[in-house]
Amino acid sequence: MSQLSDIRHAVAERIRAAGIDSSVNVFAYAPKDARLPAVVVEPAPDTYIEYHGTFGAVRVQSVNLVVRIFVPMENSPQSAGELIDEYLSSGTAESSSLADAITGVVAVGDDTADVFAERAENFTRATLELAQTTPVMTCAIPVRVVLNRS
Amino acid sequence: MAVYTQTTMAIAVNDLQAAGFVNQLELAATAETKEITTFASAGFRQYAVGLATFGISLSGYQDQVGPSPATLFTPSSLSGGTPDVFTISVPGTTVADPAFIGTAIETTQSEMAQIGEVAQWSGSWAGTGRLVKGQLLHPAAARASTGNGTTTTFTTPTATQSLWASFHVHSVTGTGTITFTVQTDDNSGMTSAVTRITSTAFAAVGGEVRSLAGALAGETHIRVVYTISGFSSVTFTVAAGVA
Repeated sequence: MSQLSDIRHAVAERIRAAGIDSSVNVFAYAPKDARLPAVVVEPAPDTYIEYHGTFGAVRVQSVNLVVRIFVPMENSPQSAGELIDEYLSSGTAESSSLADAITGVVAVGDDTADVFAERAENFTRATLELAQTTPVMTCAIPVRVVLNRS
Repeated sequence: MAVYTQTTMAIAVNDLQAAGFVNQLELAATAETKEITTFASAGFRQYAVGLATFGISLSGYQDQVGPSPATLFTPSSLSGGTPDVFTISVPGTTVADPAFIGTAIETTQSEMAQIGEVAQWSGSWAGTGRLVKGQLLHPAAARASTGNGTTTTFTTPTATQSLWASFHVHSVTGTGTITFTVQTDDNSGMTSAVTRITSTAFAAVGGEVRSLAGALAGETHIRVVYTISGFSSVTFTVAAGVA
């Protein structure tokens, strides 16, 4: 696997390992189909990679990801919103916190990278089109990964 | 060489390979101008060159553990600490790449922290002594045993100039010493090489600048010889220039 693939899988694995919710399905790449609720690790839509953070043979680069949450709205918008709020809450008492699960250090090859969940944004209703079209409540967590580029 | 986009540099500060922590560098040299206009200046001001100086500013990302700019940041470094040894080369990957050599005292240092952002740092140094433009004799690389660096050409100093060399030992494995000698010769085969500068015997990481005053008539080629005793591996940078 490539370095970028390692990073996306590592971020997904951190979320899985945190066990935020046994019903959540976590994907390092957009799936063909998925049972909801789901969390998908995606490249940031604007700037995915900033290669030249510093000079030199071993230079700092930033990889910008977005962890996107999808919760079905089949039952009620309120229950979907409350579930997303549960995932977005953070702190030691919040066992379902995505931000706390994401933030940390991951192994990338022989090196490590710092992973930081910056904020939550774009909390909105949407339509998820996979194998079938599903109304969902969604929110995005921009994630910055900083590592040395060998 | 054409104009270029700066993506790679080699920046050695004492034992630190700083480039991986730096995304902005300024090396500025200035000379005072002293007015010497007279009635014989034909209506135009005339100046003589006064004292010259140089300064170095670095900024970038910080790491508080291991070799990093944090090792340069001690309060004592602002209050009469030993001058830091600099070698700045572009791109700094090959023998004969352009390199600036100098020693400088740290005059400002700052650590910048903002929630959610990569930790940053910056520092400024005032040159103490001469700024030398030369070339790399050995880009940063690990060596396990005694050997000769790649030979390159150079312009020999005149009687009023000096040959300068900088030595940076970035890391060592094991215990021992490494000593550098800068040799010159009148042929690329270095068949009659003469040692001109000998460094300290480094028993640990560190940096040093040394010089030899005077002409080296007829010499056209230069190289570094590194003598390793005890260490199983040493990573180092060496540069030399004439000024």
